Amino acid sequence: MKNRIKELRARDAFTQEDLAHEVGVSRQTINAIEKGKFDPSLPLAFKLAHLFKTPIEGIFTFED
Amino acid sequence: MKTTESFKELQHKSTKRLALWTMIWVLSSALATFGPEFIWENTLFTYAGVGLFLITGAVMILANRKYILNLDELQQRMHLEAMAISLGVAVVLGLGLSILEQQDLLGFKMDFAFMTIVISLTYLAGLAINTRRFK
Repeated sequence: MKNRIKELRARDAFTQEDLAHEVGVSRQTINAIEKGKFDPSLPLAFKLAHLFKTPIEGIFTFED
Repeated sequence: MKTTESFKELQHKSTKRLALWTMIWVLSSALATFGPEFIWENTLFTYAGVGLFLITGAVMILANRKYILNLDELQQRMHLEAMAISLGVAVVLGLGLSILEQQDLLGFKMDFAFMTIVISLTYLAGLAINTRRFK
């Protein structure tokens, strides 16, 4: 799954640590999601969407 | 919404709790093992020592459960994969060595402590690999 976390994080001037702080996970998890190594759960995806004020489909794009 | 500060605090707290109970369990293990040899001669004390070992072990297991539950989803996945590998290795290697022992083909006496070391090392190796993988 592709995502725009890095781009949205830059838009809102968040560091990975800030973002991890906001959604209650480790910085390593944010980094793994950004690099596409790990797909977040639905609750975490909703938290990110809520924080960035963007719909989930505006952040994550499914690809085979 | 849970914040990282509370997430970090929670992790720190559960890690400290697990470390403390692991230490207590190891000490109770030493007491139950060496007590009958060096401290007392009464069998009742030995039963009490083993009882203490089992109770502290149960608390350590609960502390470990709490520790795992307080991890985030990626960390839980990393631990789950490491556990799957260590459990698999323990079962396959343990049964393999057991078959060799039954046929008197094993050059040494099978000891459960050996399997504990194998489980610990494979678990640590699995975690190290996953940490690198998701870095």
